[in-house]
Order: sequence, then structure tokens, then C-alpha cells
Amino acid sequence: MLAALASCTDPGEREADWDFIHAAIIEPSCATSSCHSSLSMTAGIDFEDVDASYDFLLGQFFVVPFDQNSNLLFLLNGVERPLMPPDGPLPKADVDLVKAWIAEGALR
Amino acid sequence: MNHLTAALTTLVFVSVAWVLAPDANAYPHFQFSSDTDTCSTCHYAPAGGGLINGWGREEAGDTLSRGGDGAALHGLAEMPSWLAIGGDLRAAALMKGVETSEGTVNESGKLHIFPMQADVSARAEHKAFALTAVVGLRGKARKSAPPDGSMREEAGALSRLVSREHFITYAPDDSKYTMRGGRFYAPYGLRLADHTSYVRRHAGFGMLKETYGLGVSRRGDANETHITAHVSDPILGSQNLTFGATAMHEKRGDSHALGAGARLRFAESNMQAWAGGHYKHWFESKKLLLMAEVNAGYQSFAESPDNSRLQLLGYIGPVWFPTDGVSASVAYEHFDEDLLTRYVERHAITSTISFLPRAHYEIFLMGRAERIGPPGRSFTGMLQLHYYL
Repeated sequence: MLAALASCTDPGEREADWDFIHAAIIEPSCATSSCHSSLSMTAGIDFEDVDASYDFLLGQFFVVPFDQNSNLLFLLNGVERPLMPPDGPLPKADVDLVKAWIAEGALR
Repeated sequence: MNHLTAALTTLVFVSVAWVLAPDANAYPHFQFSSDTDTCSTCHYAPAGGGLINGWGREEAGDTLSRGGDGAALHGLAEMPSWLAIGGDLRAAALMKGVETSEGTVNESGKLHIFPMQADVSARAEHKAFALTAVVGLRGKARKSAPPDGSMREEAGALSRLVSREHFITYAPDDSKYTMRGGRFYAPYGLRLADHTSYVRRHAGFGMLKETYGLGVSRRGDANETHITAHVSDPILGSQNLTFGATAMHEKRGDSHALGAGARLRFAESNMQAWAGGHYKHWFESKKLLLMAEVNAGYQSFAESPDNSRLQLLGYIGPVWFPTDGVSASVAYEHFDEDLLTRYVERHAITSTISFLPRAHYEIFLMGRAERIGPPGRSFTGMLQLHYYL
């Protein structure tokens, strides 16, 4: 375990894959019971399903492929928009992974 | 409290309980500190939490608060032996401060006052069977503000009606075993009341994350075991269905408890496993209870096998009981979402003060400072006014 910890990788080495981003970041952080779950649908947004979440983010232009000024990044950084999630920021490394995914074309 | 005041309080509670929101309700720091060594000594549920039984209600007035009558309805009416009722009403004032890598965010310092919990609970038993249900209306801390300014249709008012727990238990006389089926949290770890504590929210025990399950509990003289097979809400959570199993064993001494557990959860896109332990030690001379929990996790992703990750989740801290009805705690919490990746860990120092001036009433203060993968920081201050029926 210690050997593994000593070989910690930089966040940028993680694969910027939508399925991973949804399962590891979006679903546990955003689809909470009081926010964007199927139960609450705060602001009419439901992030529980991986395909529906992808379609929503691109369909509503929260994410524009290759655009580093995508609305989602402003929300995740709390810049000129309310911070999401509001109770505490995502680790910057996770925001950077979302940024990398968008920069690579926001592929499904 | 005279009968008129009690009756008015009860009437107000039952009225308000139907327009507010549900939340958690277990106080694991009362194990040992209240001269009881198991959660189920004071609660009907086999692993504690929820409705308190006759013993628990006596303790509520005698040892846990600064006096009063802890009986249901303040003792106004005697319940038939087959029926128990209860409920929780909680209002909260919350203030947050948040900093990200881009600086202080624009909602920092804003005060949110909101209904936090309103549950009505009932339990009816017939011979070895008992039916328990908790019903409330889901509330929210903030008003919806669509980030892009557009309005989308939200879930209707009726969808705010939720039952976070409803289950049937079967507990034959003179048996150490209890079977349970329905919706409930699978027993695991310390089972803290605070649904925002790391060991709850990051291990799948966040608010309204109760699963449907079939469980068996065994209560021995100095130990207890709980095993549960579970599935996430098959109706509202049908888009992201998860299946799993959770097991926990706790062994107790005169002044300590040591537990071990494991939890497996399978979804279409990923698999997650947790294994860990918890410990409590009561220092009678200092009126201090030490509580700790640590879990190691592994998560793999069907479409991104290279992103499989090891996780670490922990809680440690003392609770001090300086006098009847007062407890104060401070705890360190840790969550590392990926041990092999830098800058994705979270640290928190959480302190609480609970004051139970009389049975049925609690004033609760909480402060939490978090460091979220450099350079994020978050500060939380919360006041709760809690009434239980």
C-alpha cells in the first residue's frame, strides 16, 4: 500500500472519459437526494442517468465541445455563476478533468 | 410542562410535520455514555435509529436531557402496547463560506434558514411481526435557481412526500435473530446522525439514500451482527439501479465496542467495495467517548478500467459530556477519492454542541472547516432547533 501511495500520479494522468466522469464525479456530487437526483430534480435537472446527463449538458449548451469557456466550468468554479455543488467545491483536480474532457471534444 | 402546553406543542408538531423535510435520526454517541451498551436498547430497530422504545423514552427524561417526561405525546395519552408513534421536527440556519482556486465564490456568507426535517413515525406490532413507517415531506435548503436563467419543470409538490423508511420486522420471542424487509439503511459503521459526515455521504449513506433490502440481525450478549442484501430505489432510482450487500459485526466490552464491516455495490457502470472498522471507548472518569471509523474502498469502472481507484474514508474524535443534557464533540474527517491521484482528498474538522434542556427538545450547533484538494476550502456554521414527539 505504501509503495502504491508513493507512486501517486498527477491528476492529469486520469483518462478523461465521460462514463468515468459521470460515475466518479457527477453522480456522487450532483445527483444527491436534495439536488439533481431523479427524486428532487432541482431546477428541472436530473443527473442520475449517464446518457441523459450527457444529452442534457450538451443539448442545453452547458458543455460546448472544445470550448474552455463552457458554462459548466464557470459553475464548477463559482465564477460569474452560483458555485456547483453549492456546499463545497469539487477538488480542482476533478474540475480539471472535466475541463480536459471538454477540451478533447466532450466525447461520449 | 402542563397538559395544555404539551397538547399545543403536539398539535403544532403534527401540523408542521406535513409540510417540511425528512432527515436522519440516530445518536450513536449515547452508546455507553447513557449506561446502555447497544443502540437497540433504546430503539425498536434492530441496529438502532428511528423510533425510540419505552426504555429509550425513560432515558430521554432521566439521563439524556435535563429532565422532563420523554414519553410519546409528553405522556398526554397512553399508547396501546402494540402501537408506538413518534416524529422529528428540525429547523436549521446555515451559513457557508467557500473558496475555490478562482477565489471566494459569490454566495459565501449568505444565510439560509430552512426546514430541515419533519418526520412522522409509527410502529404497529402483532405477535412477532412489526410494521414501521416514517413519512415526511422533502424540503430544500435553497430555492432553485436555474444556472442558465431558463425555467424547467421541476418535480411537483406531491413528489416531495417521501417515506425514507418502511419495513417489516420478524422477531420471534426468545430468539436472538430479527429479520427485516423493506426500506432502511443497511447497518454499517458508526451510523452517525449527520448525513453530511464523510463516513456517511461518501460511503452511500447520504440523505434519502436508504435502500430496499432483506436483512437479518443477531444480537448476542456482547456482540451483534447485521447482514443485508439491498437494491437502490427501484422506482425513482431506476435509471441508475444498484445492487449490493452490507455486513457488520460489533463486539462489545464493558466500556468499548469494536466493529468490522464490508459493503459491496454494483451498478451498470461501476462496482464499489468498502471494508473497514469502527471503535468506541468510554472513559467514565472523564465522561468522554472516543469514536473512530476507517474504511478502505475500491471502485472500478466498466468503460474506464485504467481509472480504477483505491479510496480512504475516516472519522475520529471525542464526545464530551460535561453535565446532563450537554455534549460537545470535535472530530477529524478524511476522504480520499483516489489514493493514487494527488490533490483529490478532503479533510474536515467538525465540532458540535448539543444541548437537551428538557426531554423532547434539543439545540444543536455545528461548525465544519474543510480543505478540499488544494486549494479549495469550505466553512459551515449551522444552528438546529430540534423537537421530537
